[in-house]
Amino acid sequence: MTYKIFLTRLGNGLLVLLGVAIMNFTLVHMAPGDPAMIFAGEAGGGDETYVEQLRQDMGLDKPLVTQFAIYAGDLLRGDLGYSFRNQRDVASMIVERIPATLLLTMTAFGIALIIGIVFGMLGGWFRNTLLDRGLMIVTLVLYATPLFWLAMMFVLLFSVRLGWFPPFGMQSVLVPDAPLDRLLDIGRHLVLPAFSLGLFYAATYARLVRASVINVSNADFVKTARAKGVPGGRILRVHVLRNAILPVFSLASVHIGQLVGGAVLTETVFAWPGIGRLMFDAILQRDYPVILGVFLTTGLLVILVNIVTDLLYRIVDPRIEHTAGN
Amino acid sequence: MTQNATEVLNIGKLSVRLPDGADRPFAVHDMDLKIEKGEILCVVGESGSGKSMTANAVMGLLPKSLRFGADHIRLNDRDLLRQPRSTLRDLRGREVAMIFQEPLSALNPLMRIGDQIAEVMKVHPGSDFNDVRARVIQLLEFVGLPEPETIRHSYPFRLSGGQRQRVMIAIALALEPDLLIADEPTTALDVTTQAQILDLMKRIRDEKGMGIMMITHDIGVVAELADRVIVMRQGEMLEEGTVAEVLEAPKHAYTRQLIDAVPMMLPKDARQIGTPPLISVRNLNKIYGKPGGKTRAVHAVNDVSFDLRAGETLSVVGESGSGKSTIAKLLVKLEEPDSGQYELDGEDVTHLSVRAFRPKRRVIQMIFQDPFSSLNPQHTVARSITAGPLAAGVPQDRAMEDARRLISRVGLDESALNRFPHEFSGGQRQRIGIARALAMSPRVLVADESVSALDVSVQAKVLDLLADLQREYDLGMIFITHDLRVACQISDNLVVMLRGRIVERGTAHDVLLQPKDPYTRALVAALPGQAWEKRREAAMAAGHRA
Repeated sequence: MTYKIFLTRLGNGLLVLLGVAIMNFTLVHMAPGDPAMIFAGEAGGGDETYVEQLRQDMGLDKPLVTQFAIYAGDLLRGDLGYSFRNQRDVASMIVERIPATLLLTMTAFGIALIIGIVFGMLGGWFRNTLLDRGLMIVTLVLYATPLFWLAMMFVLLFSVRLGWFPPFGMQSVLVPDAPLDRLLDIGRHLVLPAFSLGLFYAATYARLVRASVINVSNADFVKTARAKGVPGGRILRVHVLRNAILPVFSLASVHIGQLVGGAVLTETVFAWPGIGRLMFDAILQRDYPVILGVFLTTGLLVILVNIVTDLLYRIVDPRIEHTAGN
Repeated sequence: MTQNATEVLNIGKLSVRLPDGADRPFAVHDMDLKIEKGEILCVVGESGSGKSMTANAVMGLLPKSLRFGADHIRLNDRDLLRQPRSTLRDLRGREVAMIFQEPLSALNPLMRIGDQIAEVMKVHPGSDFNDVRARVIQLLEFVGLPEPETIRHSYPFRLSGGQRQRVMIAIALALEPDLLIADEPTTALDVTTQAQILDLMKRIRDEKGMGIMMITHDIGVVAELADRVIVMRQGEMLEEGTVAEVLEAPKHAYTRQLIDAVPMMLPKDARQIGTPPLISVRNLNKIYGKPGGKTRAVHAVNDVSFDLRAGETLSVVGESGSGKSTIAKLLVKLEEPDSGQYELDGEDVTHLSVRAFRPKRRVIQMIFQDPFSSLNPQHTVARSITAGPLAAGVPQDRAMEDARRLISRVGLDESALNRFPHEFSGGQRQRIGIARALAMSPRVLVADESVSALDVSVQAKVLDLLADLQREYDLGMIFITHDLRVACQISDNLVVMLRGRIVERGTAHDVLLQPKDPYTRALVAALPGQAWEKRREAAMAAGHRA
């Protein structure tokens, strides 16, 4: 049963991916700005023939449909194209950058989940107490603060003033030799960008979980648990929290996509060598193949994460399969 | 003060204070109560009588915002008022257990049945039941669930309402407590399921020797189950005694009123009505879901035919899932039939589009079950009542005039028109719902469980009102209900439904007093309190002769 659903989801995912590819392709080519012109301009200018030559080399002289057909054919062979700007294969550029982005977004996501769930749980269980009010004010502030501003404040405070963490990059200039030291070095670089990205989402989860905990606390089965003589701590853990956390799954699958988007800002502020930085640079340079490659990769990531959360949801909530099949 | 050895619970002068600004200072006032081992005490009363509050006070489950006090609440030999919280927690489940009204929401949806039963033993270490698995199976068997091994591994959503209530009882019995508190445990169940659960309660009393405090609004259940009875109204205990004393020689006028409000199984005389039918339904079918499709198809209405004439009341009775509400929806065109024929007031409306049917809506109007959600909370009563006529082109001032006439006709003050639904009680709202339906001057009323949500004394008054209105306007009425007593009182004719089919039809007298179909017989047999009912009828007959 589950693997059948997995296959259906995967099939749907591929269709979505095709849609993403078509949309990206048309959008990018409809945007103003001619890459050949920019390229020529940056190369120190050139005459009409030179630009025309560039266009032919890049394949920009062919009709849009033909261009897409070539692009799609390349995609099927796993070829994301060639960046003339960087004189490099797009796929290799992206593959090189993906680990950094995954490290950043997944850490941020973990921070968001842990802080969000703990804050929300405390706020909901001890609702309308001083603790609850305090936590909710903190989350409101985090939620209302623009991501990039929070990031810059972090740099100012923890890096410039206190000097606890490095302000940018993923590794020190002098990379330590010992593997453990290298890991620690990356970890120290990771703290600021991961927290500034994660805290924003933590605020959303905290509010969601709080509302959900309050809702579930009033459910009849919680009263049943009390009547059974179950201690309060166990009621919260076993009965309230598991039920209250379900909505987080639905929201999380949506957020993962946004996180990758949010990473563009964070990676730019912290000069984090991830896919977001790559996208930012590529857009400025009108580097079509790279832009398309990045869009497609993030699309693929989002689809995969959605499939995974879907499957997880099935494990956590036994009722899903029932409603889907009945 | 020494305590009787067989006494399980003794409450002295329990009062529960309501928050300031409530309609009265106390939810429960100076309540005395005791229960012995092997005894079922029924606490009976209407909504707001304080019966559930009393139970929750014993369990320590009152909301924190409510303050309560008492001389003593003694469970076995311990005064609960003088125990630390940890002891109170430990006593719950070990010495006193509770089951609730809504079995569908009373179990944790994400936890297997077996784990939910085993949890009671887990949180009470040192209990006598070491082999938890064996104990769970034993409990599931005792409450009469089939295939305990399968049920143990199931999640609650796989079980029906009746099965879930059995699981709740298994949880309550896990540590063999001395006292079981049951708060309306059969109210949400079908009548045949209710009968089984009531039997189970008697078995618990007889085989386990437990004391049971049963909270109910249903006099039939009291007659069926109780050894002793306490009658409550507005937080005050009015009367206490054995079941025979209270039901057969009630001392308090309110008790008598409660008992008299229970509809008797005395059908009214069948009338012969010669007019042509207002509604004629032939071989109507409605199937939800496609046969052979991914989801299981449900034949909700299967080959149903009936007629309804002016001035006639036809009751459609059946348990949940029998298709009776689908019939209501088909008649007012909220659903389209898959096949069959439906004639309304002499015209074939089977295939009329929603738009083409609109003028016909004047002829047929519906009264819904839930008076709390069937009126728009944002609209004044006047707006709700006049909306239909205004849409049908009646001028504003005439619609308002009609609304004033109707609102006083259903027994409310004219000032009600400018108020909002939340300002009214359930019974008043149902009266507004009736006025709203009548505003269209219909010839047919479809009442879908229209009195089920009401207290029995309110229910009796609304039923009287409906009967009066029917006579006054010569209305045809389709009365959909699960309650055989109500059906018996109000109907001329009756159809009994089971899984979408009509299994028996006839006059109320024939169907209910001499049922032929096995299912109808089972339904009638499942009615609680029949022995009492016979005595009551005999007493009535004797009274008539005297």
